[in-house]
Amino acid sequence: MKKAKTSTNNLLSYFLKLFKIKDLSVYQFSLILIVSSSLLAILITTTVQVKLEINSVQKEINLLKEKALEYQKGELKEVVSHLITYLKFTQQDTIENSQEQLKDKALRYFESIRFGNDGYVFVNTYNGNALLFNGKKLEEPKRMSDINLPSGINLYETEMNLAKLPGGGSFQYKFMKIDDTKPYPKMSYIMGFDQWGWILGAGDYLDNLDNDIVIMENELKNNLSKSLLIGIGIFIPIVMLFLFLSNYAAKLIQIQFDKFVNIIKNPPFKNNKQQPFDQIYIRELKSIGMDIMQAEELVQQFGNIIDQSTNEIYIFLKNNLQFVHANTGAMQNCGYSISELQNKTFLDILPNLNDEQFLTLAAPLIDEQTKKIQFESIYHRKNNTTYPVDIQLTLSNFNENEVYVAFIYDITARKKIEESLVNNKNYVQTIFDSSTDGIFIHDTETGKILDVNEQMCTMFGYEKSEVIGKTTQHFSANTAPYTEKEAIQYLLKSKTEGKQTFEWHCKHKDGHLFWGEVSIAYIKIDDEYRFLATTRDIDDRKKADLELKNYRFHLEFLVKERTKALEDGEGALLNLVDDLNMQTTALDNANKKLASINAEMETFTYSVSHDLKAPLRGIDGYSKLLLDLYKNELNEEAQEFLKNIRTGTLQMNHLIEDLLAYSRLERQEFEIRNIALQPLINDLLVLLSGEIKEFNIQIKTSFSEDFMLLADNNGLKLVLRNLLDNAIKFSSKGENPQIEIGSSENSTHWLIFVKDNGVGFDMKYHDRIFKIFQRLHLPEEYEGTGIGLAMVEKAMHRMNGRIWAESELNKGTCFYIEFKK
Amino acid sequence: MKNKLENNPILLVEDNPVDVDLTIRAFKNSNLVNPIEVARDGEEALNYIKKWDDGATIPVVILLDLKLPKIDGLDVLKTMKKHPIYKTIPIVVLTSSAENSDIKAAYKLGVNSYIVKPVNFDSFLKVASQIELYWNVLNKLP
Repeated sequence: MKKAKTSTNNLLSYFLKLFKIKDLSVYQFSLILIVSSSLLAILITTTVQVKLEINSVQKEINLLKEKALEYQKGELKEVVSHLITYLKFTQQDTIENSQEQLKDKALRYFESIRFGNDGYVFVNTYNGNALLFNGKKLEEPKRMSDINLPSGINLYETEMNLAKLPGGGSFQYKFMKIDDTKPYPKMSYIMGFDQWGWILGAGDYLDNLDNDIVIMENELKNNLSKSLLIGIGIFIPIVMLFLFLSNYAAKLIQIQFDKFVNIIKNPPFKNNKQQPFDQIYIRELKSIGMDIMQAEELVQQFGNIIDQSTNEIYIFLKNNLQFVHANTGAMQNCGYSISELQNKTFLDILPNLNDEQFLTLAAPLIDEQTKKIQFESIYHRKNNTTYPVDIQLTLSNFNENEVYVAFIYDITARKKIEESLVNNKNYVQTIFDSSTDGIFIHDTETGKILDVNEQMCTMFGYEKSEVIGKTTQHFSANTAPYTEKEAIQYLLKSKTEGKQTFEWHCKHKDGHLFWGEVSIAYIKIDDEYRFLATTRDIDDRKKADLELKNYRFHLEFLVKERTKALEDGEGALLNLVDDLNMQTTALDNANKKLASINAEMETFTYSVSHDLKAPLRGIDGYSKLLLDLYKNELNEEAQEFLKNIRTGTLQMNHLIEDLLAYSRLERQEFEIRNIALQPLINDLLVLLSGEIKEFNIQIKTSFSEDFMLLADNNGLKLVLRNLLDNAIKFSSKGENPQIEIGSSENSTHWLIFVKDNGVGFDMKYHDRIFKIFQRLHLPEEYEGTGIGLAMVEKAMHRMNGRIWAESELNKGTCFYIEFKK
Repeated sequence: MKNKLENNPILLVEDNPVDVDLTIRAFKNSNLVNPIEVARDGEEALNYIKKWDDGATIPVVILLDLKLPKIDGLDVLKTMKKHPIYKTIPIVVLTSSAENSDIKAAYKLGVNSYIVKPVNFDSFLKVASQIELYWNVLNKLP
């Protein structure tokens, strides 16, 4: 065993030596390879050819053998037939001779018969006696059972069986010859002669036949050898030619290889004097007879690969590890000049490595156990920066010195990835658990669930412990095509065809079904293959899809209907256009009229605001002056009258102001835009803060800070101002007055409400409160003009909104305003 | 604090005699010492330009009503604010109109302030004292 191993090593080292780049070894190797493989091919072909030839010869011989035996059998049958014919004739001659005499006569005749090589006739009786045995008539009959046969067959039985056959039959056995006691292969033919109860046989020995066959075989073999010799005669020159050609080919390979080796071995500078790469290679390539153009091209390519390689290539001496050369990539990276580098050793750029460690590493190279070694280390640049590297080291020759050639690769990125892989294990777990998709991890053999994330538990309503060990059927609708069977198909498909993404009808623990989008990937987790199934809840999307489908169907139906209606209505449309033209004219006229009315209205308003208010100012002003300047001359009653005048005047002023505002609402342009509710309410609350404080009203706001709606800013302000005024007014006299302002929205509307806990009103007056000059209270109870809510209603109307109230007497009122989206 | 402009007049352009009387009283009430000159329509107001050219004292502020006989208050404002010299005189519109169109027009023509005349005389007194305080005491003129 040990010996075998050593010899294998020897063989290996022999081959390694053979592979080693030394003079002519490539030639030898090529030659041996070509010649041995060709000879082997020839040998195999020839062997197969000869084998086939021999087989066919053998077949032929066997065929001949069969034919010869057949022939022999025919001969023997003829002899026996002759005997039968003879006996048939003899038997009838009973006039002169008795039967015994006739038998005797026949036996004597049979005794004399000889044929073939050693052929003779024998006669036995049906009752087992031998009459004519071994070519001699027996004086006394002999029991056949006493005859020993070398082949061990029962002669009597065999012969009897054949004798009974009509036409007889033959058999082969071994028997001694008349003059020889040695047994020889023999064939006999047997027929029965019933009248006398005789078994008649004619037998001949087959050894002569075998001899004939051997002669024939030899003849055939001779022929074969002859043709083989002729073949070889033709073949040898071909092989010679082949060897010559192989030799030539191997030499060519050697030349090409030498060129390559020279390029590798002879670096761009010698004796510390740097020579340009190109010149050296062009010279070398020219020396091997290459076209100068070709040479330049080749050098350029080669120079690009080696010298401009971003990988770093260093060459340093084997004995003291001192650098002799480095490529451009290396020079750029290390930061040293060529001369600086040549004063350094390989271990200077790899400070983590000492001499001893390096020798241990390089031992397999030195011992020629391997061609290349690879290891990782830390690279140290001139500027003291470091980074991780992968180093591939080989041994070679350079200027007749043994050198190491080192290829150095930057593996910073790889290292970072490796590090982050380790650090990120927890990170991955966090991602797994915080994913918004439900994640299942299945066993690849059984399909059972090994792990799930938290989202899966939330999505399906289970505890993690309830899920582990189950199969997908617990989480599926289980109606085709969403059953266990299809799930398994998807799992298996992900293994062979990559990631599978499909929609799935999932089942929650409480039994309700929902739609999910599932992605299955066959991945490796902690060195084990698993199925990773990610499930996203797409129930809303799916439902929306269905809705959309229905809607589209409905729409298509509508379009069809409309198209039909449109076709029908085309005629009617023409009439309509005429009507429309007429109406447009009418509308134009009406518009003009309206414009003039508006202008009139404006003048009116202007006059009212100016002229009507001027006397009021006079009345109030002089009343006040009277009260101030003539206070002493006026008794209390007169003073009271003046005060009432002032109150009435101011009320009148209010009324005019409100009327003006109301008419302004009609004329004013409304500009619908995005309004934030919060700042608007804040402004109003500041404006009303005096009253709020005065009546100690608690204000509650319950709308979101970012509530936005589409309305006219001034319109909305007017509405809310009036509603807040009202709320303050009607709650101010109660206990713990409270006002709540809130909002809500749905897909079609925005809603704002102002709610108070004031006096409220009977809902039967609901519609009346929004009509101008309509009041539910006496002026001395709650002052007011009866215009406020009418204005609010008009403003809401102008903004395409609506207003209503819910109220209960002495409980409070809630006003709602609603805007369309 | 002694204001060096305290002898310069205030020009009140107002057609309504009641308003003229009440305005003068209101200013008196707030201890205003400046004499008050009154123009009863737009034409009269613009005539002041000639008077100032002839050496009459230029007012500290003009209080201008908008609805005036003969020449409209906005036209008076326009002419004054286009005058190369007298455009620096501060003009305060004092009117009953709270119409947005009026307010915008006035500011467009260069008015320095726009005050809606309150009906309530108590409020009017406050306005008068504020006008006095701002235009006659706090505001520094060229």
